[in-house]
Amino acid sequence: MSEYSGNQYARRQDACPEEEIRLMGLIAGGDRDAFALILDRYMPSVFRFSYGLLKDHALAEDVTQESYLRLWRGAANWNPTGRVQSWLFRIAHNLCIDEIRTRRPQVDIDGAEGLLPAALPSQEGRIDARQNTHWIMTALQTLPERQRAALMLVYYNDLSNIEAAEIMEISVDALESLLARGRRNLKDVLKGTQDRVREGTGIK
Amino acid sequence: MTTEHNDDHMMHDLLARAAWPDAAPDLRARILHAVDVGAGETLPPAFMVAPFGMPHARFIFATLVFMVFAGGVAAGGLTHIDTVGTTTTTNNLYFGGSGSVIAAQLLQ
Repeated sequence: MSEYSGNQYARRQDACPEEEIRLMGLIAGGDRDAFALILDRYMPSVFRFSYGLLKDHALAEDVTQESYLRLWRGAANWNPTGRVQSWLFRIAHNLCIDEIRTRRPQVDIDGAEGLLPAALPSQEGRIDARQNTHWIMTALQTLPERQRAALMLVYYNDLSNIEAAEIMEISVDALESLLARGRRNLKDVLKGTQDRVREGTGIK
Repeated sequence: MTTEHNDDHMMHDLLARAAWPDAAPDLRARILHAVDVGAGETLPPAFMVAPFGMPHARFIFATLVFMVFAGGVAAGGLTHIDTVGTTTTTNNLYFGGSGSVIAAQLLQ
């Protein structure tokens, strides 16, 4: 991901680059090479966004594939008012929400403690990157899916609040509310984990 | 710097620091293959598939209408056989009566 730019404060619509408008036109005409360019450009971020919401590698790949197939099928109907990336994220978001609501039980934040590790010290009490990743992923899964999606779009994928709100089909105010609650909940869950690790390792 | 701005930076750092997994190396090839073989025409979910190309809800409605009509025909026919020579017009009093009238006419 790019360096944090704080672009969520930019209250403007991110325009689609001319090049992507041209590529989408080519894709609408069945140009496979143009499709491959868009695929290479956004596939990793679409996959990781889907993974962040589903925490399931195979499902995230399915969602990524279906998102791109819908882009291929619907390129002719694409309205170039927003970025192609946003369109892909919106498709992926809807697919993930469908998947979460039909197949996966919602995890209650209050029940998150059981999912997180009690204490897992590495040598000298340091927490390695893999463990850190596990905590963050697991903590994310304890949040309601809308909070999770908002956090992923704005803080991981670096989208503006306006873009993220459009992807989630909510108002900017509603998005900001989701972000505030998501931040607070994520901090609470991670703080609880940190406290338990300190208790387990004796770190002060 | 405001607390909210600090939180924004912290959240960004937190999520960026995680070692996010990558998609399988063959996912790109799978997607391109799906496009090549026309997976753009993938079937809709199973619950959307109904016989005769009808949308699911319309198919159920058509089936129910047919069952009511067929039930009326069958019941009307049987009643007609039971009551032939006495009365058949009473068949119109119960649900599906129109079917019974047709059946009665056919059997006469």
